[in-house]
Amino acid sequence: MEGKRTVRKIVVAGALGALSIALMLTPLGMIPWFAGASLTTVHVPVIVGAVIEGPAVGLCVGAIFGVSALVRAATAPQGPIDLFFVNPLISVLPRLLVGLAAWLAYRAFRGKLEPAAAATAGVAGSLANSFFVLGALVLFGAIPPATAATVFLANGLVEAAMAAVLTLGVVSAWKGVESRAGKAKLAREE
Amino acid sequence: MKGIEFFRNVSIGQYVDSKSYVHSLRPSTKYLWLLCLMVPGIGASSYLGAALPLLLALVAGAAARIRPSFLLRGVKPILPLMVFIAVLQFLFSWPGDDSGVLFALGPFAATAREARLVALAVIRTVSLMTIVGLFTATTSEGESMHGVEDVLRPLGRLGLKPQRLALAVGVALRFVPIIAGELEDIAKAQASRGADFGSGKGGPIAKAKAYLPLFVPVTVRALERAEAMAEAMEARGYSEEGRTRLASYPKRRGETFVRIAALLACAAIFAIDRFVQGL
Amino acid sequence: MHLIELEEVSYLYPGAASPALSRISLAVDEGEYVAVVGANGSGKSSLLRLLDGLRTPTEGEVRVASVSTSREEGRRAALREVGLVFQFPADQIVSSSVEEDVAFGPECLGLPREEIRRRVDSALAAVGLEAAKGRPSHFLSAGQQQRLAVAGVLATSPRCVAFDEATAMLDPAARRSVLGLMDALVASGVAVVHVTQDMSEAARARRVLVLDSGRLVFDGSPAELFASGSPRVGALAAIGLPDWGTLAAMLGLEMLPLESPDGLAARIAAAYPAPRAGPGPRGDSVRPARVGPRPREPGADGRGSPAGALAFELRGASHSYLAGTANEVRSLSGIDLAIPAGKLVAFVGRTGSGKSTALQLLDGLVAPTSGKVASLGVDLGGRSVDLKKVRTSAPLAVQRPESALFETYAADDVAFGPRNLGLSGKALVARVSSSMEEAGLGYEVFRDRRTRSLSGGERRRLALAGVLAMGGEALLLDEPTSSLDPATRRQVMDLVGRKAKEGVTVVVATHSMDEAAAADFVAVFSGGSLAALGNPEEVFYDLYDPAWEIGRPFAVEVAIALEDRGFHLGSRPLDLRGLAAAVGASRRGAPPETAAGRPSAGGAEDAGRLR
Repeated sequence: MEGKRTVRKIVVAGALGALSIALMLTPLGMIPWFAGASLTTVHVPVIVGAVIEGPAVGLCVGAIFGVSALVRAATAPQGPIDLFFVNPLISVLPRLLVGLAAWLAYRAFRGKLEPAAAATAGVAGSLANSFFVLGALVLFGAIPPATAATVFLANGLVEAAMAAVLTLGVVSAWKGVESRAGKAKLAREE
Repeated sequence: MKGIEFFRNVSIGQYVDSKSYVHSLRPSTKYLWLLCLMVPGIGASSYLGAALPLLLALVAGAAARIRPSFLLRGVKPILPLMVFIAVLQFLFSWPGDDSGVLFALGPFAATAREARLVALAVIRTVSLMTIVGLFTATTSEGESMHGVEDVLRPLGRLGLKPQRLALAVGVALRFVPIIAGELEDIAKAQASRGADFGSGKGGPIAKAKAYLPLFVPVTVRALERAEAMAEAMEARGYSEEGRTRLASYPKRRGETFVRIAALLACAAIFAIDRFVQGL
Repeated sequence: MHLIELEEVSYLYPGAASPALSRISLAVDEGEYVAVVGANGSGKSSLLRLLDGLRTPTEGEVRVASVSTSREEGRRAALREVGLVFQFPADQIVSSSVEEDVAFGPECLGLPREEIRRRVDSALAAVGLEAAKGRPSHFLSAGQQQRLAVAGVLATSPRCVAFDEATAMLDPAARRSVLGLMDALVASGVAVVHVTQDMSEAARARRVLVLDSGRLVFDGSPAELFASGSPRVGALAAIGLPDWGTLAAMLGLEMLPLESPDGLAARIAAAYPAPRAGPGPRGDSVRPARVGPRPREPGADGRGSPAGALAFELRGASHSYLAGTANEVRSLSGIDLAIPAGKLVAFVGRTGSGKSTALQLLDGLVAPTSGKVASLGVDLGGRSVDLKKVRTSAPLAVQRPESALFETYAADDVAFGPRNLGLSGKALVARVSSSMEEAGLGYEVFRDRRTRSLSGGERRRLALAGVLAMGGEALLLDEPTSSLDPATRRQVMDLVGRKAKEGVTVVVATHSMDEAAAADFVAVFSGGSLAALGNPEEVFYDLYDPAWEIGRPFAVEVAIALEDRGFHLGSRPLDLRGLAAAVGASRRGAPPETAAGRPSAGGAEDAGRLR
């Protein structure tokens, strides 16, 4: 039965990778923030892959996401950051770490407090995304450290909070994790 | 009036089948050239060093019967963005930057170092864009997937299994139009129930919650599809050992030279880069 | 030696309370054509997976080519000899390239390249897809994709192909082509096992297995199954008899296992000699001369209500996907359509004919590329249109709406819509509970159930409850009964009928002509244009054109066949009950009482239960 588990992991990695790509291609991958900027959710499938199927899948989805971001940046760039995503060390390498970070965070809490584990994985993965991508941009002289820090604080923390909510939402829907006492929220309205 | 509609049929790169010698090369050769042009493109620190890969890519493009205007089509839209980046550079300053000031505007000064960084970034970007664009124009989906497997095959001896990654990539490409379509359907379904997906007011947590009705079902559906496909693959006898391949990529005449040329080009560009810097 | 043998097989899902299958013993031989029927939860899917080797029994033994699947080599033999085709075409196609997908199986078998090439070519030829060889797989239609899935299975040269409700998602024309494939497979010596909810499909097989709660309650020929007085028929109550069987029973004729409308008409004409007179008292005849171009507004010719309030209006509406790009695809051209308020309208047409797009135009989910759309009195092309209000006043249930369920608990999901409308507190609870009750999900029972643990039919009804909870003055439904089991299908159709009676404008896109026959008006879409518009009687008797490829209600086919034999009916029935009444009435020579235009929504299905 060995083959069963591997096939499943491979296909899940592919499906979540496809989800990342689809979110990247449509306006629905963004949530409008303010002044025209928006928060992306494109990296959350990477986190979900790591939490649900493990670090290998997280790495794989991260790789697929990073490479497609690179190809997109090269053939149909959308924004200023895309300029630098043609460099795989900026677009691909940091994304490999997203899955890893998410999985490590999840492992720390798993079994003790499930909802917290999923949410923490979301935060960790998203922060890893922001931190390592911005870090790579600084290393390559694309933006000065001060700018990077500003973006990190303005965007990165907020995205991390959102990723926590989204990851928790998916994991509880998929695994049936108890986020409440087993009753519909509607009960509160009665 | 805006409707809800996405591109169910977009692809990520643009494959142009002009049936040239370049197209007929094996996927692993194409990946090799990709690598040998990208590395200097990223690593070179002189203007010439960063520009040479661009020129080589354009030449290779001509050999592949792909016009330079096609490869460079992505440059015009990003010109305003490049200006924006330049402005960002000039607004914030690097610590310890004591190169000569080019011009000043109030408290903000543009130094020579910053100007150089911007110029290099621009050249590098156009270079990499062209290289990647050339690759996607000459490599079909199937070739990309098989190429991944071929290139990473040596890693198989280390205990990793590259054919798994290759298959995951193939499945991903296959699923993209389906998931994009599902994203659209779910968006429509929830719009009928009054959802606004976070375009309203509220802090990040509230916005994320408004986004859940879209994100959760589409992710869950993706996972369900994955399970169904895994079962179908198992039913068709999926196995990792002893797999053969329908597609064949025979070695072309002179292909070995092409591969050696890639390595030489890479080395040459670095050498020139060093040389120019020493001047 | 049997190809597949099951001996006292039981199967228990890990963590389940009761077994999915109990002590099943049966054998399948080479070249057999077996249908498997049973209600949801009867164990059909588990049975197939045991045959194929995907699962091994908890008790008993499954043997394929005489080797037990409890052993590794038996499992591999089963995987090789038995191919499995699943319900959703898209989830089986592994590659974007048609060829690569078919090659997947042979590649995994490690066959040499020339052999793979040979098998791919012959598999594609066997399913009639040679022309599609160079195309990306996601550009194929659903029917073609399902045939591609079959090709992928055939490429491994199995001796038996099992179909797990593989026709449920297809429109009637695509369904026919897949059924034809099954016939061809049997003819070429490959055994076919076809799990289906549709008795008319099951009747095509030579042998039928009936499962009930995991037990095998019948194993014999279709003729034996339908023989009147057979006790097994009770187990079929949930599924229903095929149309010809129901009609035969209503008319007191013997039920044949498989019968065409023409054959049945011949038997009726023989059994009920009727006066071969001219037109009846009302001047109605089943086949009048072809009438001229139809008015664009249903009801404008005097039937139905006068053109009062219009719920929806399309004037010259056209739509293209990816308009302006290289991949532009025109989906609708120049549609003129006016839908009066409070009516039940059916949109019919092949998959891809534009009916889904038309629905989405009605409430502003997509914008027309040209032409005008007015929805509930609002011109959607206007400057400051509140799209959200329009979309929530005429909510659309997309195809397979259960894909959009996202809350953990059932009641919360239904509450999503009303909450967005601003309801809260007791009013919210009242709205949620009444919508759930309307959809047949008792509020107290289902309130705290997890959405993911519900059955397919329950999830569909939950999604519909969510749309009902919007309390809109109109309701748009895109194939609400697709891939449902017959019992749930009836419930949904009843629901639709009830809403229409309450005065809600209901527009339903459907593949079922029986559902369309129950509507006030039918709009036929073909190739992106509106091919016909009128009440069901006009559409199915006067205007009908086989080029639409939608089929007609069975009753209509029989009525026309009867007329051809000179058996005059005197009315134009749309459902089985109406037809039976008309036959009975014309025998007595009296004018028929049937209301030719308003059969009840559940008519055809009700008749499925034998008296």
